[in-house]
Amino acid sequence: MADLSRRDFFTRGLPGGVAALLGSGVAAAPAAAAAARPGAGDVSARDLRRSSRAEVREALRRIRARARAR
Amino acid sequence: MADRPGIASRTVGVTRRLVLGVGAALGAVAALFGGRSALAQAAKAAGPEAEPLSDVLGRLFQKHYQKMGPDEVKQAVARIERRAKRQTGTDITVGTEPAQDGVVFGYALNISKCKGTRKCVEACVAENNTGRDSSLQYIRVLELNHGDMNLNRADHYYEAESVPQPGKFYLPVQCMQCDNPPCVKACPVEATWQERDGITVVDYDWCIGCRYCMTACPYWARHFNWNEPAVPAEALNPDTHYLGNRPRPRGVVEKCTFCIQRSRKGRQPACVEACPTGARIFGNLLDPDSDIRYVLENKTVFRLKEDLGTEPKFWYFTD
Repeated sequence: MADLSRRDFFTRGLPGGVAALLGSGVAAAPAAAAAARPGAGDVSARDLRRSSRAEVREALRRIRARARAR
Repeated sequence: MADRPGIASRTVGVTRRLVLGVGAALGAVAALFGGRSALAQAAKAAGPEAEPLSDVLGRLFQKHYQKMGPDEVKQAVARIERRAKRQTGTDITVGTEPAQDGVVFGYALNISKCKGTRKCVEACVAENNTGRDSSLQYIRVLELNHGDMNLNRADHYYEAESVPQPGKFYLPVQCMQCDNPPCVKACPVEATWQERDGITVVDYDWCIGCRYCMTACPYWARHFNWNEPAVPAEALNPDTHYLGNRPRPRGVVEKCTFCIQRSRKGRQPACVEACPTGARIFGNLLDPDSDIRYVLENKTVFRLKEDLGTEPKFWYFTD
């Protein structure tokens, strides 16, 4: 049985969760799940996600706008 | 309709609701006057060291910090300082420095440099007058296995004899000072809010300790104090801020404020100064020449759980 937390199960979506429960023997299902939702199988992509330069600029723009509004 | 035995008819002039209503009103009046006289007697019996009645009543009827006028703020601050002097014998100052225009604080932490020494935690506890008899700490250093970013498997109770442990890396987590803070929305009494400089603060005298904000925070950054913070007089940090590390009662929720008592005076938070590896960068996000802006514009940066839409103003980065 794969090492899978409850949160992982629910956040991977049904195909990914079932596939992870069944283990790596079912190779096609995780691949399909990953293809269906980019980054879904990668926990790091969800919890600590890399921000691109454009995303950083956009975040700073939003922060500036909120600061002006306050 | 015939009256049933034991139940008053609606035609009777005095209903049960009316009796209960009048009774409650009379009870409230009696409690108010009785309570005041009891307080006065208690104050008289306790001698000169006891809290003056005016302070007790002032504390009782103190307004929300945001609703207070300058005079009321002065009185509240003086009350807190007198109380601290009585309780600890130490003179403390409670600052009320407001947020400056053109400043929004941000934070960046270099994961490559953090070694998990927890010096930041020690400095935070000392600076923020956190209770020494509790395990309440604003910073939580998570120990993770290399290649594993599942925070559910992180260990923040690690007790290694030396750090860093082989095969491990460390991820300190504290208040992200979200620009869209879910904790603020969850508070039913508006005891917590975001200041103009982006710091989310708590009015400890207004917090009812319901802990909804703790539930709403996805970063485990809010902490309920089960005891009045017990700090030895010699270890007490006398430089405090009303919205930060001032003495607070038990049963309220506390959190990191980027050391508001320091940052609003142009100083770095205690954790930044204490970090032995220089992993922590703090500054004004609106200043294009600040260190934090340099990091954001030139390093590979990450944000924790940003998919929740919280807009954390705390970035992690790597060399």
